[in-house]
Amino acid sequence: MHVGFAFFPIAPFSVATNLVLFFVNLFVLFSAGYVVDVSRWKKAGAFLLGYGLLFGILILKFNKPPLFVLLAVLYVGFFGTKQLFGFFLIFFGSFVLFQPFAFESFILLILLYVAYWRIDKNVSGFVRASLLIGLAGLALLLLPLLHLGMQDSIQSLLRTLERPDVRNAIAVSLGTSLVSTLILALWAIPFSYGMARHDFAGKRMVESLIDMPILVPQSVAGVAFIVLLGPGSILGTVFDGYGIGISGTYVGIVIAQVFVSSPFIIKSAIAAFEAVPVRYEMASRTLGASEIRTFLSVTLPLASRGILFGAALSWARSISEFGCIVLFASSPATAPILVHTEFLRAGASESRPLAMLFLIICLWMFFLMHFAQHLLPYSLQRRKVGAQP
Amino acid sequence: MIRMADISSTFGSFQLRGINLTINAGEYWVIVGPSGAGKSALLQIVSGFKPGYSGKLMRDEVDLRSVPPEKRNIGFVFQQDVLFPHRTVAGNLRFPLELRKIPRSEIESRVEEYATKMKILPLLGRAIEGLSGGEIQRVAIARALIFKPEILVLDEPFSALDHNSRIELQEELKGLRKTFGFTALHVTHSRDEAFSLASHLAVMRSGEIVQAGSCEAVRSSPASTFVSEFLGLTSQPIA
Repeated sequence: MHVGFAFFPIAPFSVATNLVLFFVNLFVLFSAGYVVDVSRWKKAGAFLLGYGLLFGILILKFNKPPLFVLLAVLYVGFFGTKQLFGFFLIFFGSFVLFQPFAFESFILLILLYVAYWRIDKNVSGFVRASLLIGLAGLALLLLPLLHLGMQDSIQSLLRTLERPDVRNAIAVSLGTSLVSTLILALWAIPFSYGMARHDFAGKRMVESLIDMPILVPQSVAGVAFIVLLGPGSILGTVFDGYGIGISGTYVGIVIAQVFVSSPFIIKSAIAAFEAVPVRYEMASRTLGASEIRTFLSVTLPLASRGILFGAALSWARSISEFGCIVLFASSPATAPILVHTEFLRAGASESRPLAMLFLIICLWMFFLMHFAQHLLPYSLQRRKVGAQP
Repeated sequence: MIRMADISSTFGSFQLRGINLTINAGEYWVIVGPSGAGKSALLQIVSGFKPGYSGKLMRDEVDLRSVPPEKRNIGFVFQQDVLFPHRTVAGNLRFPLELRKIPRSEIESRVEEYATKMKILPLLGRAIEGLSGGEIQRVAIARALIFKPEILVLDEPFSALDHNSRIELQEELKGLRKTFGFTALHVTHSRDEAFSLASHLAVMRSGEIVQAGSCEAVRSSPASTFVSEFLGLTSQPIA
C-alpha cells in the first residue's frame, strides 16, 4: 500500500512521511503478533479496529502524522495490558479529543481511572457504579479549580507574590483564620463533649441552631454583625469607648470567621466524641482518673482525629470566608477580599494569578492539616467497613 | 470491708430492692443469677456510676455515697473490652500507676511483676488492636489489680470467651488470689464459674438477693426451689 502511495499521481503523504508510516506499520504488525493472540479473532479484530480509528482520527481528520506515529507505538505497546491501555485511552482522549482542556481532563480522568482500579474486585456492581458516578461528579466539581490552576505560570505566581498588598492579604488571612480556629477549638471541644454525652430536652433544637451559620446567607450575617457591633451600634460604641474597634478590624474578621465556620468543628467533634464508647471513660474512672483527667487522657486522644478533621474544615471555611467579611470587616483586606477588589478593578485575567496563588496556599495548608491527623494516636474514627464495632 | 445496707434503686422500669450484703477482706463473693436479675446494676452502685439510690453503702466506716468512682479504690473488670486502644498493653498497665504518681522505676517493676503473673509479658509492647479475647481479659485483670485496689469487681468478665479460655482464666484468677489475697465481688450468670471461684455466693432474682452466704452453706442449704434449681443442686430447699 505504501509503495502504491509512493506512485500515486497525487501522493497523500510526502515521501518522508510515507516512509515513516511504512516503518510504523511494519512495527505495529510485528509487535501485534506478540501483544495480540492472532488466533483469537475478536481481540485481533478489536486491535485492528482501534488502530483504524487512530489512523482515521489523527491522519484523516486532524492530519497529524507525528502524533499518529507516537500514539500508534503507544497503542501497540499498551494494548495487551488492561491498565496501560486505559492510560493510553485517557491520554488519547484528553490530548486529541478534549482540547483545549487536555491537562484538566487528563488529570481528572487518570484520578478516576486509578480509583476504579483500586475498588475491590468483590464489590457489587451497584456499589461500584455508585462510586464511579459519584467520583465522576466530584471530578466535574473540581474542574473549574483545576482549570484555574492551569492558567498561570510559576513565574507569574511568584511575581504576584512579590506584591506587598498580596503578601499582607495572605498574612491577614492566615493569621485571622488560625486565631479563629483556635478560639473555635477552645469553645467547641467542651461544648461538643457535653452534647455527645448528655441527652436533654431541646437537644434537637440546639443541634439545629448549631447549623444556623450554614443556613444563613453570609451577607445576612454580615448585616447582622454590622447592626449589632458596627459603628454607631450600641455595642460598637461601648467597645469603641474601650478602644476596641470591631467592625473593619482584625477582631471583626475573626468574629465573622468564627461565626461562619463554627458548625464544621462542632459537628465533627460531636461525632468524634459519640464514637468513643462511654465504657472507656468508666474504666478510666475506676482506675483512678478524675472526670477531667479521663477527658484529657482517654476521651480527647481517642476523638482527636475527628476533632482535627473538623478543625481543618473550619479553618478552610474561615480562610475562604468572603460574604460576611466584605460587609462587616473588609479592611484590612483578607485574600478573598483582595481577589474580589482586584477582579472589580481589573477583571478576571488580572485577579487570576492572585486567585491561583491563594488556592495553592489553601490546598497546601489543608493537606498539611489532613496529614497531621495521621500523626495522632489511634482513633476510633473511620473504622474499615465491615470491621468489628 | 464493704457493707451494703438495704440498698434500693430504680433503673428505668427495673428496680433493685433491699440489697444487704457484707463483704469482708479476703472474701471472694460471686453474685449469680439469671439475666436481668440486677447483678450489673448493683455493680454500678458499688462502683459509683449510679449515685441515685436509697440505703447505705459503706467502706469500713466511710459512707461511699459522695465518693466519686476514682476515689473508691475499686479495680473493675468489665464484660466488654475496655483497654485503651491508643495505649500499648504496657501503657494500659502503667495508666493507674501514673495517676497515683508512683516513681517510674516502681511502675516498671510492677508492670513486669503483674505481666508475668498474668502471662502477658510478651504482649507488653503490643497494641490493643489485634489481641485475642483471652489476652484482652488477662490485660484487663492485670490492669485492675496492678494498683492494689481494696476490692476487685468483675462484671461477667469471661462471658465473651470460649470455654477453654474461660476455664484457663478462672484457674489463673484463683492462683492470683492465692498470691495477692484480694477481695472480690464477681458477677456471673454461670453457676460453674460461681462454684469454681466463690468463697461466698449471693443469688439474685428480679432485683433482690434471694440467698447469700458462704458457698458451702448455700450449696448445702438452698433457701428456695429457685436457688436449688438455678444452681443445679441436688439438695432440696430448707422450707
